[in-house]
Amino acid sequence: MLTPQQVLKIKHEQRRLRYLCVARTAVIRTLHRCLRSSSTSVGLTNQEAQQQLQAQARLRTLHLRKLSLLSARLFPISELPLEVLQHIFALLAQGQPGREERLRVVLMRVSRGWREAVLGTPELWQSVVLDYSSGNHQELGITHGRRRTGDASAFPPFEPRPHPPEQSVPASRPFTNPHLLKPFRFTVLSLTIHSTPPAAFLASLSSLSPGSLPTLKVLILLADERAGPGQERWVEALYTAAPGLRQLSIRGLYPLPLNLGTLRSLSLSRGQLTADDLSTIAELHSLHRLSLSAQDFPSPPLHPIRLHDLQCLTILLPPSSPHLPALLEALHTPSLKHLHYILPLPSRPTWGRPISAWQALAEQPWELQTLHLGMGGDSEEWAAQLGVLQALGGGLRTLVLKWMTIQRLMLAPLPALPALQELVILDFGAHSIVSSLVLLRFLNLLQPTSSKLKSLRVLSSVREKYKERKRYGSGELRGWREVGKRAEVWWSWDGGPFGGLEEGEEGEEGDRALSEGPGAAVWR
Amino acid sequence: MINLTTSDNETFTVDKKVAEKSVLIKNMLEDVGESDQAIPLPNVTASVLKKVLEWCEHHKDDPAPPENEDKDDTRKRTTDISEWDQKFIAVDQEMLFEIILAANYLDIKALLDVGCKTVANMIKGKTPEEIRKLFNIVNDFTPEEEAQIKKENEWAEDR
Repeated sequence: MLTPQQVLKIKHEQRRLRYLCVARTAVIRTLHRCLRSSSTSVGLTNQEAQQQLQAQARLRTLHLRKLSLLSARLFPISELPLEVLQHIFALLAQGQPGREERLRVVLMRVSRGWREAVLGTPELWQSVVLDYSSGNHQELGITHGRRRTGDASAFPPFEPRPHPPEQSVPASRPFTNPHLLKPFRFTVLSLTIHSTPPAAFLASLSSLSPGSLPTLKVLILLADERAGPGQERWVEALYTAAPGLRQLSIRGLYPLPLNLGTLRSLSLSRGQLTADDLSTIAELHSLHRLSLSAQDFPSPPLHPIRLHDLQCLTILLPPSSPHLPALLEALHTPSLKHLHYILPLPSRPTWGRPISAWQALAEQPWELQTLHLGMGGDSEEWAAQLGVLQALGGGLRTLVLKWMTIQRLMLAPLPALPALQELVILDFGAHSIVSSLVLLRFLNLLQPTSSKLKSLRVLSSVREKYKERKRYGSGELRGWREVGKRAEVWWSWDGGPFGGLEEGEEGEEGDRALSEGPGAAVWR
Repeated sequence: MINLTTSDNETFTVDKKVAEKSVLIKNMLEDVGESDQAIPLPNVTASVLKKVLEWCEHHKDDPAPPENEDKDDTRKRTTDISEWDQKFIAVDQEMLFEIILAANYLDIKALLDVGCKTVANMIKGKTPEEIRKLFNIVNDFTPEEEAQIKKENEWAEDR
């Protein structure tokens, strides 16, 4: 606290500095006038006047800076009541949705007082990530569902990647707050638990009473491995504590919730997908999105899986499993519109080719609007995959394919896709980047039957990483100009038709920014 | 008309409608009824009250904010400050914080928001060191703590 004498002294100094600022401003104006009219009435040459001008401006800036410091000394921000400081932080958080974690980091590093204030501001903690993967207790923070450009999870049927590995930090923290859930349990919207928490924390999770996390909408449980820890009591306690849960992602053997009527989205990634899992999923009648990923699928479903509201489905299962056709037949999903169907290709023996799985898919009655098909393999399998494209109803609007697939498709007669509006090309390879000239040839083949095609979306991880634009020569750039005349070209997942798929999901509208591709600059 | 007396014993006579922008004064008037006696405001100086009343006078006809504001609306308006309010709040830090304190004490939510938004805008985009400089805040972390905090947050700073 300042004494009255100190306050008086500061105020006197403020008055002096204000007077000096006014005087220097007058001098600066006079010098400007002289310079403009080339007058020497002040007895200075132009060069001298210029030097004086700079000196006076510099001094005035110094005075203003000192004035600001004195003002801050007279009334330091630390004298604001805590609730006012927290209100300021809350406004900051609301003004920068999706940047909470960065904001938290900055504010917590200012001083101890600010760190405490941040810990007590619920608006800064709507999303919490507890990461124990390195053996240390971490609090990282997540941007509840907001994705960065190029993140494949922007497309609903993709395997969600809620927690990229590069976000893990092998470091301990000096001021860990081990029970973040406790202070923020009435405001937290999204909770991620990565790896197994310490026993004490597990005990506190297990003792959560039903409904004690009333605002929790998104829960992400990530084991270190897909065959990770098994039936955990604390997981079940979490489910009962969050009666409004809408989105659940699981990696590992954590149990599934039973009859959670609010759940709209489930992503399950296990070492082994069992018939029991499928039976439990069949009871989650309100699901709109479902993603199933496993390394092993040893037994067929025991009962039909009736999910009448399901709109988006991802299947990423081993091609060697003989039960894929049974799974497809068990699915009763009349509302399904978006499908992502991948049977990983590497080292597939002749006897393990999932021909019957492709044939079963071709026989499904789904009226798909979006299809992401993992095509490839030998000629027999390729023929079965083409059969899927040929069997599609006339309503397919968006087709997602790998760039290599496009090149292969040009060698065969293309199936007719009369309603196709958008073609999405995934380019993950470093050796063959998307070529506008090849693409033009493909469009020529495609467009006689797909006359509605108006949008072309290129997702190139290579381009994002290495700024591939530099490698496009003039011929390619001319090609892009032509492509741009045929279809609107996007270089990002964001801002396109995929954004609208996730109706009703909080905080998932995505960044609408359109990143420009090489064509964009050329064809304008 | 209502009389208000500040901590430095200056009395202001203002229109009731203007004074009632403050929930504190409004409640006081409801509790004690109208009288010629001045309402004491021991936590507000004359220079600050003058500014606060200037704001209340300008906003006296504004509709009252809804009780439960929609969060999305709040989010949209977070950094928006009207042109008049921006000019009004273009004061030095000492006065800015005095206004915020007075708005908090007098319970004038809209004015408190204007002040807090202004501070929020001052903080936005700055590093911890810049914030310390701006508000003359002492860094009270030990060097070890600071190094540790920096290390633990490296991942976020690159983003």
